[in-house]
Amino acid sequence: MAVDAATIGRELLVHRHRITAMAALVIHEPQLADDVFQQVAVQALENPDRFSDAVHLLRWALRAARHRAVDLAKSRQRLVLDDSVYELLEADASEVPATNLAARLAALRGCVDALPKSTRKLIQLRYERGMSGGDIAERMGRTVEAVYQALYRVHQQLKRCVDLRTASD
Amino acid sequence: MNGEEHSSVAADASAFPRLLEGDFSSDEVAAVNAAMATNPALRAEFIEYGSQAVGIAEHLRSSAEPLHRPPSSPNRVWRIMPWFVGVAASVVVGVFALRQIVTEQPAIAQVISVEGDCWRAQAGAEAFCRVGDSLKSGDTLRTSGTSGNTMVQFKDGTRVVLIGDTAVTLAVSPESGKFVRVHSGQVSAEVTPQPTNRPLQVETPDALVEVVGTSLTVSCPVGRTSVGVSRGEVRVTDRSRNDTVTVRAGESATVSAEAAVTPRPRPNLPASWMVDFSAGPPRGWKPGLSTEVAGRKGIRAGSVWLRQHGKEHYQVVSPNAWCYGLFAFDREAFLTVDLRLERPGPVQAILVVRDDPPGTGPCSQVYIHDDIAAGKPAGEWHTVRVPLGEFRSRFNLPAHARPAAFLALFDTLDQDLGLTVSRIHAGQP
Repeated sequence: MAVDAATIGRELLVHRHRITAMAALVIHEPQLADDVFQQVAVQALENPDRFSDAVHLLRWALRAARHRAVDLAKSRQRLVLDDSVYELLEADASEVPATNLAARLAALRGCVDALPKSTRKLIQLRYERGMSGGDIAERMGRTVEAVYQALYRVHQQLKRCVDLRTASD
Repeated sequence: MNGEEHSSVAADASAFPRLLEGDFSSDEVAAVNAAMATNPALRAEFIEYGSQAVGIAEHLRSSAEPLHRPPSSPNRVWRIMPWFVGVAASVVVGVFALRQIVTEQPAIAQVISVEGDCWRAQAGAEAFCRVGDSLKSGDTLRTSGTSGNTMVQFKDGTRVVLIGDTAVTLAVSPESGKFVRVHSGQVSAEVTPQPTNRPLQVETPDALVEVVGTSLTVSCPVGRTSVGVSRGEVRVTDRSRNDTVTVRAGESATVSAEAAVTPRPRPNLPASWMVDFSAGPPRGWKPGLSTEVAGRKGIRAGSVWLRQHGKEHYQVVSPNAWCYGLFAFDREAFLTVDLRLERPGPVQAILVVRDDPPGTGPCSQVYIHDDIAAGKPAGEWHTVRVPLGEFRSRFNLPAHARPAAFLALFDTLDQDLGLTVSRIHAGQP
């Protein structure tokens, strides 16, 4: 049974974060990843009859987002991973229930707000301003490697915080 | 580190920040491919990392969080649009760039009105602005909320208003005069006569505007700076091309990568405004997505995290047209909207209005209609028409002489009612 346009719109919004995150794994820039999501949504709505159900739609959207993101990355001379790896990532990503993802997102917001000032400054420069590790290093008077390590540690810290918050819900 | 060691490190989760910036060699990418193919835990970490990156970016853009938030906000007013912000880091830029002239400086200006949220960064620390605050050279101000604005007055009477989500750094030096760096957002200024060899300088990422004495607005969304002049004249320099033009009263000019800067007559504020989504959403509408329902194209409401309420709202939001305005807000006119709901519920319509031309007069007003879809069944397209006279004003402000709506939004509050908007018209039917 085909999925109607209203359902497509609703499902895409429900899975927006998951689809955008898939694109971000390829091109890393959240803003560009969001553009990719919009393109995927338009493409889905242009031909709604192609989808048999919501699961089919999600799998297609993740793949379409990945292909568009890879094209975008290549046009910017960025190295990308093998297609086979992205296929595994897609399959893994599509298995996480939307409710779990929504809970983790809500927890993430609280965890970001609870970050100390210096740490928050780092992620603001990286994710709000879209600055590269090199630019942040120059701005903060640190080495690029130190910035990468600091970013990794922030993500680890946020993951632990999200795990704790979602476990206690 | 030799190549083998690098490849080994590359296959570890700690290398994700570097990998995702494309800062990897082809050998390292090959090592990651091999590790990802056989290690589900590493893939799970990678997915988590990407998910966090997107979640953090969305949250920062929508939360209007200062670098350091004091425990309470003395001037907090209801804010309708924290998702426009995304400027906090700009404050850091301004602070660092001008730190050398911060210490032990006398006051150069004063905050004379605050509507909405405003933060002041001085020597790396942030605090909420208060009316009467003295500002020193190098101070950075950041405002948030489209309905908000903050007015600053220099000692010579020159006034600068920060509108909506805006961040600026102010400075004065004996050698070069007054300096306003607009990191992002929009400002209006009434500039008293300045020495010809030391004009007031307004700098944006794209342009340098030199002002001897005039009234002007400067808007700088990403990649573009628009300058409108109501009185007098200014010199506008396209910083990338090093082209300078003079923009006179009644003219405007835009600096962007697309075209050389050219002064043009400032367009008159139209009496009516129409947006038709049949060809897809015009640029700048957010946060929903282009859709087609029951044979009609439209834009579907998307979710916005409203930090102060701790919940998501579902909205369709126009671009912020502060500089030129959308239409003359006439209480005798009507707002007509073609819309459809998947589930019944209230649809708020909100229009944000300023004076025309934009200057340093009364602040923005917010007009609200609590339910433009009242009594309309779900699952069908409807054309709803409401008089602008039925919109209630949010703030107790003096009436604008020539009110101009510069932003429109439709909000189903914290319920996703599946609102889709196909066409909007404001004016006489």
